[in-house]
Amino acid sequence: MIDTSLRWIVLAPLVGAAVNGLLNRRLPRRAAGLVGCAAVAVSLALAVRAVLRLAALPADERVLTDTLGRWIASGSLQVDAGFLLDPLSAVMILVVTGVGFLIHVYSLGYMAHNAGLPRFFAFLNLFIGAMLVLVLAENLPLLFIGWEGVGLCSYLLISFWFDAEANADAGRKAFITNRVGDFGALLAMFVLGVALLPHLGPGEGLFSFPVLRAHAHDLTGVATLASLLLFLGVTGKSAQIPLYIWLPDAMAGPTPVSALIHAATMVTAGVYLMARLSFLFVLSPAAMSVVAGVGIGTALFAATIAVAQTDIKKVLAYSTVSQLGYMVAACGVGAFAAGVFHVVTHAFFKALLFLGAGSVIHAMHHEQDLRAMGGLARRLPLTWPTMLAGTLAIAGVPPLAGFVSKDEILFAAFLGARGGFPWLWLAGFLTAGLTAFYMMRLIALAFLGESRASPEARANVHESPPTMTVPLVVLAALSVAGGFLGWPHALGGGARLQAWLAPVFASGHGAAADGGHGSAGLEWTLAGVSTLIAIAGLGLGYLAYVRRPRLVAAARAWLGGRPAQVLGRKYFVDELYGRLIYRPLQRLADVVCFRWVDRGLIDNLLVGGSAVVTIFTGSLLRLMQNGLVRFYAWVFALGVTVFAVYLTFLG
Amino acid sequence: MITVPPVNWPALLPYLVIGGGGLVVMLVDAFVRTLRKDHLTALTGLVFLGAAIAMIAVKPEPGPQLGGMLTVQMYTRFFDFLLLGIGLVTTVYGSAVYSQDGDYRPEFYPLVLFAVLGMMVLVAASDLLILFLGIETMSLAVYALVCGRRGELRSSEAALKYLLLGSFASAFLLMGAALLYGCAGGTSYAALAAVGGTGEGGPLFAVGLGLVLVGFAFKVAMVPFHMWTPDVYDGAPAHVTGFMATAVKAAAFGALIRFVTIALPGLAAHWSGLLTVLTVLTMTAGNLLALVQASIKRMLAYSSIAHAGYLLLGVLAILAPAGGDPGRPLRESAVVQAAGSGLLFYLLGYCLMNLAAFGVISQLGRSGGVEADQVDHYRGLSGRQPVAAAVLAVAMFSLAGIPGTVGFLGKFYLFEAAIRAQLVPLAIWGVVNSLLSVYYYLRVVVVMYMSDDQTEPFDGRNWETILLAGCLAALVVLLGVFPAAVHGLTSLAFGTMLG
Repeated sequence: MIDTSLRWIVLAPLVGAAVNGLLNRRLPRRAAGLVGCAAVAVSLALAVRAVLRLAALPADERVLTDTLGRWIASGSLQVDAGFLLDPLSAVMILVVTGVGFLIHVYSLGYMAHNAGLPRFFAFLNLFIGAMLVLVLAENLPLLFIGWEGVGLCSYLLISFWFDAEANADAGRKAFITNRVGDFGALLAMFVLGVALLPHLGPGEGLFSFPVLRAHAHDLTGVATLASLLLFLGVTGKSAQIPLYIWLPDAMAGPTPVSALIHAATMVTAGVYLMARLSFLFVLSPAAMSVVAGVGIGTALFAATIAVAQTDIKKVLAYSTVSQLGYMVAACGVGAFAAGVFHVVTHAFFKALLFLGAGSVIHAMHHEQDLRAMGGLARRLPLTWPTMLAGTLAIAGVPPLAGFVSKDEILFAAFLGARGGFPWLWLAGFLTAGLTAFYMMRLIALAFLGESRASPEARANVHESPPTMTVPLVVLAALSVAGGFLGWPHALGGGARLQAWLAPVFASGHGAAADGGHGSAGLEWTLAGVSTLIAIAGLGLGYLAYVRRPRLVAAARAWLGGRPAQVLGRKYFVDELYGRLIYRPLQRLADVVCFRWVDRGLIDNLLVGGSAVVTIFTGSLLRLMQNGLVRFYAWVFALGVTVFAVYLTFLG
Repeated sequence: MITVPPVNWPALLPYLVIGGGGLVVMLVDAFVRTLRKDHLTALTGLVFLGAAIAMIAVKPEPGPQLGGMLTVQMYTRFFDFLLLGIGLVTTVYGSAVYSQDGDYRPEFYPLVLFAVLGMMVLVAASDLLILFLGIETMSLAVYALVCGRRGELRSSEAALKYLLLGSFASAFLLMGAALLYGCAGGTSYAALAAVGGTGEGGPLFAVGLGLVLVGFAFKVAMVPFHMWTPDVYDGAPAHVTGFMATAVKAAAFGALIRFVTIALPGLAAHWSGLLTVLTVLTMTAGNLLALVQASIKRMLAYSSIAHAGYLLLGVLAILAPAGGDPGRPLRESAVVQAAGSGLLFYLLGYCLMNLAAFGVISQLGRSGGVEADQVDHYRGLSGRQPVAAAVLAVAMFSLAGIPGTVGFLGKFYLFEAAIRAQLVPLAIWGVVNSLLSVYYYLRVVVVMYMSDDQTEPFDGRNWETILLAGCLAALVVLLGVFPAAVHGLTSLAFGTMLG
């Protein structure tokens, strides 16, 4: 069905971005914030309306489209500028505009004292617009525009406070790392295009998702290659091994940005892409195995790093990488619905945790080091319980949101094991324990115990204004109750989200895991075990950081300084990349490209050389231009003579 | 007894309007005492508009006129419109310059009209006699226009040089026509084509054609018949230089293309070698010499030589397939069609961008007729006159052939046709040349935008001229982005000439 309101969902935030961006400082601060929030509010309202319309349709006809016109028309390459709303994009736009709106409101308070407020809201609105293009796009090229657009906004917002070199560096790191992934995504698009072109029927747009899906059987030959290239893009955008390195550094941006872009929405774009192209991924069991392995590997790896971080935002950043690993792993075992479910619940509790962390940072006057906090529970009466709710949710305590979606993924991983031992499940299970532990550590260091802040900092601690605490409360409620959206059948629920998404996803290899072939008994068992490890992790954290702080010191002494250093320095991955990739490339660029090719060959020989030769010749010729008519006539006559001779004897 | 051929008045109406208008303007200036200065501008403008309206309103049956002396067809009408437009723009530029000079030059107006009349006849000529008549009508008027600043030595010197060398060239043209008459027994293009096609012309015929070509080569400034160009372009007032660089060149190429396509196809094999050498020489010498100029007018003079070289490449592309297969009519060849419409498109774009550039140059002068003719005079112009600087910059980008401008597409069409005509080395040489040219065109932009204001600025400013030049620059960009409609038109126009 056609619904022309889709374009306004995308356009509203873009208009907001244009107003804030063009008027910039001429706009009063309050107005800038209001425009920014109102633009997203309009988008949210329209999104809700469109999704309600979609829900009113019968389950197998749930598609709304809005075509703006033909965008590319070049021979057999036809691409429309069009939007498509189906159950999958419906979930995504609700998350993007809903969580986005809350974070906009929060920013009113958090960023109130910043110069450049209009610029901030312009970028934030632009991000929402680009993200909506990404999830509503009807075809790959348009999706890619959104994909690049959110990357650009991420870069702009990470280095929002660009007067500090470190922030600018972090922005560049994010952008360049993502380029590697984007290159893969582009190549994947070319591969798909080349493979599909000969099979295209008349009037079919080459990269349109419905067309791709209908032609999935023509893509079997390139499925592995295309999936792996796409997955390279996913590892960039969704921060998976080996391209996850930019996300922790991205915390240099303002905290609402970390919450919105680097936790709740943009980083889930990779998961969305895999869900959108599920029909392609399931064609290649090999690619699926890679996806699952990388995802769960990232989850475990990042969780171990999170244990040793001292910056409150860095802990959450590695936690985000780890949770994204879960989502990617879910796609890898074919449980796309579970992956998307985790996208939703993670958006709730991770946005909550980041905003809570922002509230803490706000209260502590931009102190981010956990070692300088402590005892904040009494001083921040609203932030404390909401943070606790977020922590319990991410740790996987039933019946909170994180428990349900994570359990779905672990269950699918357990079933997806093709013979032999369920390694994926085990890794995910260990990650769950680590998650509970490092989150408890964060809570303990920040909120419990005695304050370690300096006396004057301690005196100034204050709870945040309502613009910041209200979004916290709302998100806390969602984190507590969000799990009931998709409470699984086996545990006596309705699995409504899974049913809603079912028409979008391909059936095929591994997808069976979604349907729940495992017995209810198995699911109950796994859920029980997960709950136990979550509680064990929380308990251990409580014990180590609140009850018996000496345990930590004792453990350090027993292990020696080495493991803590390895974790604290994040397994030296940045150093490794520096040695293996950055430095050789830099030398190559400097010596070969710059000194030899650019300066030597091009500048000196080609540019300089040709300039010398041409100017010299020109100067010589110029001597002939002596201004004497007699000489001119003589040259003329010479020319005529040559003409006549040539035509008489040679012509 | 000589029979008077039937006269098809509607077809001749535009020529009559322009010629008659020229006489009226001249007489009004001589006898109407109460004339204000801008009345002549308005009257001249009306004559141009009247001729244009006559062409739009009265649509004669296309075909030969006056017993085959002239041909009126869409091809000639395309050039008529182009030339009328250039005449009109030149009139506006000229009035602005003379009012700035404080020097009233009433003879300017009828001279422009007569020059345009000569050009229109030149393009429409189907007979060597009419060709000569057109060339001379045009040239005599232009000689006098070059001397537009009588008080200035440079201007008079330029006019005299042009007159002397121009007469020299005309003598060769006339000699060539005489030889051709001797061989073919007639002076019409058709008669030449008949003899040329049989290959019975012999060396005298070939030399005759060669001498006619010399006449053309002089007018379009091909190397080695170009020596007058920089001196004359430099000495003439800027608006006249603009007129010469555009109208004279367009008319001469319009006539040359017709002459080559109609009278020469059978002889293409004799010609292509010679024309190839001319093309290479013209492109290369024009660009190399433009590189070392400090005067913007001399630079544009050499640039116009270089552009003549690119245009010759198109002419060669028309001849090339005919040379390969003499028996095959030209109109059946897609390459000929592509080259011809490319040529017309290129000429149109070339006129637009040059007129825009010369408009800016002409209005920047100081009172008393001192022109901003050195590249250095444009230092920091973007700060003083941002609109004028932008217009000049667009013109320079287009002349250099930067994408997004009509100059790029013109070159693209021409080089594409050349490649299709299997003139690959020549096309590559053309690209290398246009690469060279980027340097001297962009130097003007660099000077305007990236260097400090000079101490003694030229601050002439005429809003009518800037507005007009701005419209032309806008067209340069517009046609550079949406060429389809106009390219279709040029394609159609060239097609009518092939028959």
